[in-house]
Amino acid sequence: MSNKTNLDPEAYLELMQSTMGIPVREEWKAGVCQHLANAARMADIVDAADLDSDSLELAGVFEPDKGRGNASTEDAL
Amino acid sequence: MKDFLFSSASEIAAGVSTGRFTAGKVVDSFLTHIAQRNPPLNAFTAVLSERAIARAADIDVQLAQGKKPGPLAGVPFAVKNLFDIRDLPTLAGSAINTANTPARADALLIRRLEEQGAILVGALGMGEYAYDFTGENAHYGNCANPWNTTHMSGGSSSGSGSAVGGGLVPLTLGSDTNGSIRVPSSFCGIFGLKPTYGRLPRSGTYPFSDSLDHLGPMARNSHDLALAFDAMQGYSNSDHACSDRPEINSVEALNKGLEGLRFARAAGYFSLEEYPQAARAVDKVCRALDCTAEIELPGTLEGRSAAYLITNVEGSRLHLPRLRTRPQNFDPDTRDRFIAGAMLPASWYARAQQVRHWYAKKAGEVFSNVDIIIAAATPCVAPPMGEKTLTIRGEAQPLRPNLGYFTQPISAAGLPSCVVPTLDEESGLPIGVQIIAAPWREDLCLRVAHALEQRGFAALEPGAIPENSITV
Repeated sequence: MSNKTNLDPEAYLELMQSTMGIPVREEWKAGVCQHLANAARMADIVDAADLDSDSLELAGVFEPDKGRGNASTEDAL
Repeated sequence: MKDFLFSSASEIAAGVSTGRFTAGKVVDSFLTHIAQRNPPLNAFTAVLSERAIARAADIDVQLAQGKKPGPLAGVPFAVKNLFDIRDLPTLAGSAINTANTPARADALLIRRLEEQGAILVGALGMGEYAYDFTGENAHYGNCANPWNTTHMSGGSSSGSGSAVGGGLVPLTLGSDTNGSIRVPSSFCGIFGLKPTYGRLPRSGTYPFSDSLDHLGPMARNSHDLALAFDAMQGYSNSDHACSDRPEINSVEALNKGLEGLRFARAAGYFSLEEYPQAARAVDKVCRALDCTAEIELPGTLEGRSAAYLITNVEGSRLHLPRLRTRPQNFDPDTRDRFIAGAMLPASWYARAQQVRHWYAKKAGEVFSNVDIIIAAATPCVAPPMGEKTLTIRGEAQPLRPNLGYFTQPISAAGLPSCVVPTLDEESGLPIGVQIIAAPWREDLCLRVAHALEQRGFAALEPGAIPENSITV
């Protein structure tokens, strides 16, 4: 399965299973490779989105004081 | 009311509040329905008879004392088993979590519903760790469709859809990361609301993908959805993604009708040439709404792909410790995807987050020209259990991820969406349509759903389907 990212799922899986410390049984590898190839196709689509190449707006908005003055103590678990 | 079977939450609350029948009688009836009707559906994983009977007795005492338990007085409800329930381990559809410490408290939304008089009666099955659109589960067995028990219920809120569709309970809660409320609502022929991202606090629920996880109600009509939604709204700082916004009164908005609303049918990515069942369903709704306009949501393919990667990476990061130590204990259908997700390059994830923000902004801008967008909920009616492929534009594609083809972009953009049921006469199975509005306008989704109900779009009873039930 081709993708612009040049991901070779079998070779990538061999490298990453030891890097990430995930023991992948032989009989699972075909399934994992299929999902890696799917993800690579998604990555190609996402990469082709027409965004300003000098922007990187992706942060979840972090508000250090969020909820102050409006904290709901009944909600505390 | 024949022992309340298929009664709505609003009918039950009205009857209990006015003393026509007791909460105890309601709970007894539904516990009987669950005992009789659950075995072929496999929707429930725990039935809380003792707790529910005690709570009903408490509500009946309150009523006898002249107190008002709330707008959901005596309404039995059940929750997807990723919601914390006091004294039960939170399974999230997995076998691994059975060893977890039981929850010390109920999830916040359970508490909010009970504060308004509702009665929790049980926990419902789901696809493992919510990574599912089918309702299949290797550990607990498949959850069946109440319209045909050899077909899928849809997932991952499978028990939530099947239980409402089969009349086991009038109201359930589900979660929706990429379509997990809307897909089972479509397949089981019921109403389901995925609110705006950040609207309802997720505190006390087992996560899947923090950037995309939503919670919401599933029921047999829009009034019940609105009652439950209004009861659950309200900011809480116990969920970092919960937005501090004013609550809306969606019950009050229900009867405002269609006047002044601009409708458009989703085109482009959402076109339905290849999906005749979905096309017929959307046609019916558009005819009922007199909607002839079409609109494209720019960037949808990219937004959907971003949601796929974000979900894969975040879900896999959550489960990485277990993927390292006990991958053999996962459902095979989720394990392979989680393993793949744990290996994806960081730059893919960063790009996906960037594209998700970009897409959400573009999708939000579309609503300067339209109030409601109509789109299919699923590409087809519920497939037979075990089906592995779905044909999209002439190509066989893996079924599991693609059942969410039309729902995934909407949650990626964070937009509120209400599924309204239709009946596909050819297959004899239901299929839903999404009513989508601008962020924070759940009231518009529910108002249009309500108007459609008045035009014949109803949650029908499986096995007792009147001919020509859809009148448009």
